[in-house]
Amino acid sequence: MPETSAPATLSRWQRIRQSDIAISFLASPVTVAAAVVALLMIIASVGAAFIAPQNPYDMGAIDIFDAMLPPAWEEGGDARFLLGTDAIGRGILSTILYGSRMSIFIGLVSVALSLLIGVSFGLIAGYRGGLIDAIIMRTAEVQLALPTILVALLINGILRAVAPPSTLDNVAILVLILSIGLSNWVQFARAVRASTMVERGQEYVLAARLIGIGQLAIMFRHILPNVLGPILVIATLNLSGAILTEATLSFLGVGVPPTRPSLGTLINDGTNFLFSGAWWITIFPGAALALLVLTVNLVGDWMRDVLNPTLE
Amino acid sequence: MSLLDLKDLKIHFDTRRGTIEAVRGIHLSLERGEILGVVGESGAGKSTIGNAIIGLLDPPGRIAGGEIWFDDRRIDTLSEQGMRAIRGRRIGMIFQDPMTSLNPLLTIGDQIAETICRHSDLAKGPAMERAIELLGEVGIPDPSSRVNDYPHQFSGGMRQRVVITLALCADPDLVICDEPTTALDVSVQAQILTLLRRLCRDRNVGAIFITHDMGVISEVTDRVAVMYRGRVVETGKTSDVLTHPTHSYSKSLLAAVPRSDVRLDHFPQLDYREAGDTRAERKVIDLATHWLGRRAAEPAANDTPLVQVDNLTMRFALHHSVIPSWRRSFTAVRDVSFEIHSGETFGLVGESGSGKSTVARMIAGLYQPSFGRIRYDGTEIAGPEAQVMSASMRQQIQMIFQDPFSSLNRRKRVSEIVSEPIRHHRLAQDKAEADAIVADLLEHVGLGAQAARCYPHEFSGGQRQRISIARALATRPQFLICDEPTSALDVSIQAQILNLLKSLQAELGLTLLFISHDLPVIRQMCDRIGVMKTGELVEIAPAEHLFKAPQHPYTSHLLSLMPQVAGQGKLERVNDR
Repeated sequence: MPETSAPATLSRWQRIRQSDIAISFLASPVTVAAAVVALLMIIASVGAAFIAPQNPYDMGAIDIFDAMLPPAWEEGGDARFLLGTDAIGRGILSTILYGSRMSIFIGLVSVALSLLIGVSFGLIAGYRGGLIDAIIMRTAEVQLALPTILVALLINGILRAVAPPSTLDNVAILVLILSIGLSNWVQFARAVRASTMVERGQEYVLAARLIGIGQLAIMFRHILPNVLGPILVIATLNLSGAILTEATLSFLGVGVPPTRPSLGTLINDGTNFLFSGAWWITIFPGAALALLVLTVNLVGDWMRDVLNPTLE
Repeated sequence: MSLLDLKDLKIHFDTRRGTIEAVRGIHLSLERGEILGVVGESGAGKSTIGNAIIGLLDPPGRIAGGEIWFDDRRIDTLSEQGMRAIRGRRIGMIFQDPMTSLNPLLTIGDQIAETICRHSDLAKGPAMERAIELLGEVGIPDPSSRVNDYPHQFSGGMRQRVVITLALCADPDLVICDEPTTALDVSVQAQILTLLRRLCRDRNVGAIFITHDMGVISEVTDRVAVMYRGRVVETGKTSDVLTHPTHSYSKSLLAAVPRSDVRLDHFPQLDYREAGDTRAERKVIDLATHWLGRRAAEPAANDTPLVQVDNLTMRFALHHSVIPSWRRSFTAVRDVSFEIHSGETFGLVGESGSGKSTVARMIAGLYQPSFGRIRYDGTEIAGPEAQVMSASMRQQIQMIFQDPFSSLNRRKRVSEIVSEPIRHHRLAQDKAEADAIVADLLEHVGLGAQAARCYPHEFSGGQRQRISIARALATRPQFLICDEPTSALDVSIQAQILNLLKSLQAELGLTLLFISHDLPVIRQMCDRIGVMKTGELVEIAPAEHLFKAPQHPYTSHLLSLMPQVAGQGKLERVNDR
């Protein structure tokens, strides 16, 4: 019983290397592979301007005579366009890189928005309880009853009617972020509320109240760090969901304009040519989307197993 | 040949960070009809032995060496199939928590009858009759109608009786009781212990009692084995070991058990340490010059009590409704009045559910009382004329909680936890001064300043409780509420923490409200004691009066149930030498 000796301190890196999470991560090759692929795709899309062979937004660099070229290894392919070109001569590889940048951007921002709303509401509902809790959670249930796509179409319709036509391109991105962000906060709110209700009875919260610390500070500085585990899991799983929803909406034509394509827009473009033999225009963006969503989901599933075995 | 023989048993747990030797070669034997106590502090390996005998070691635990012989058969090498034939039928097991050891979805009759059918040739009907008979034997009133009840319809003590029935219904030769009364109140504990002892005698069953409680050992067992860090350091007849312990660890363990018969100034510290067991020495601070000595306001030196509680009542709403007659509430505290004078230690004692903690939390301002008022140093802090507590008032009252694992925020470093009150109330000039104060506080509670950089999970329960105390002291309080501060700790660590509280009280002139269900602890700590029963305060008396001449029948009832450790007086003489 070494009762009163302080434990030996480890360096930060040693702590991380010896933590259960790091060891469980390294013990799962699928997760490591998925994380590496997801990370590579994110880095490639963020650095699209430096990596992509062409700039698909630069109208001057696009040559209409390059249109509909098959991938480089097919007959009639061009070495400049590894994955072929689309109907107006943009290289598919370049459009995928720029397109996934847009997809990931919209995904991340909308998840951040749902996080912000969901975590705040969840903390308040869980900590205060009573009437405030009832109002927030009933609102959440109403929200759950409305499908994301319907909400997006609604917000899209309203904003398009209100906003001046010249700003429509920017409005489209805002519509996507708002509609995806607003329809996903409920999951966050529910998870945070449940853990907050447990935490608020813990004695460290009582101790903070005895010191005289205010409610908001207790919620955000004391309780929030303790409920973050499940939130990270939901956020990761939601990121892939948000990317998919964005693609769906763009595919339906509510999403980003063709001039600033996302993966969904690219897939939509390509479907017109699918039966004319130009399969590469839609297959490659589709595969990129599938790979991105799959890898993010694999990482999210692993996190769920490690961080919160009780979720779902 | 004895009923059970453990020969040089070794149990290892293989983990990523190396092998933990939980049990390091022990020899134990048990005769039929004998009750053997295994006593030790948490982590000593006593439960591991029980689980190993019955073949329920959780992986990665494994028997690394030695043999287990039961009734002339070696059982540690048996297959799972063979073990199942023995488990339940030949060896019964009683676990600590009666709340989780019964299936909540089956009636208790079904559960017992199923076990009887499994282990005998009886059909369902006769098995149920046997179940009723057995339930009557363990003292469940009206067993023929209660067999159809579900576990949640029984109280904790009654459930433990059902668990005992389950363990005994197949007429086993050996029963292993792993902390069978730890989750129960004293009054229930006494009944269960008497029952277990009688059943073992009547049926000539051998029993192993695994417990950390010397009182239980003293009351029930014939022989006792004292365990320390995976080894049996001493075995012998219970009365011999308790009165004349030979090993120095047994001596220190016995010395730490709070005496129920006399009040001592400090607990005798007979710390037993093995080599490599280092600990920081407690630093005493010169209060005349130190920050800790400079309080915001000293209490007015007059005759008004520091804390005055008048007719306090607390109701918790069970069912909310707009219509008043539909509302349901539960009265946790009813019409409680007492005073606490400056510098004294006032104790509140009672069984679980008696409302002690609720009273403490109302005084601390965590709950708003339904009726009644609380005055602190003449100012009303709860009640009809209460003002919002000012920050300086807020600093005066601090609290130490029961659970050392939930009372510290696990995401924050110790330095942040202890300095938070200082930063919040701006009690230090700058960060450097705050850091210095935190270091001093940590040394003051006997932890050492280097603890500041660590996270709570790196500390043991007793060390965490010291951190809690340091945090409570960081506002420079005058009034400290201790809500069962040691009930989650081992007895030797309990002695250390109680000694620390006593020293701090003397040095800082603190007034304490000390809450416990443990009468010997209360006796050692308190000047005056209030006894609570189901929300009401039945008696208040100076400590010595209360123990010598209890006025209320409930108090004398509680006192009569206090487990006595045989020969404590003798032990003191041993220590005095």
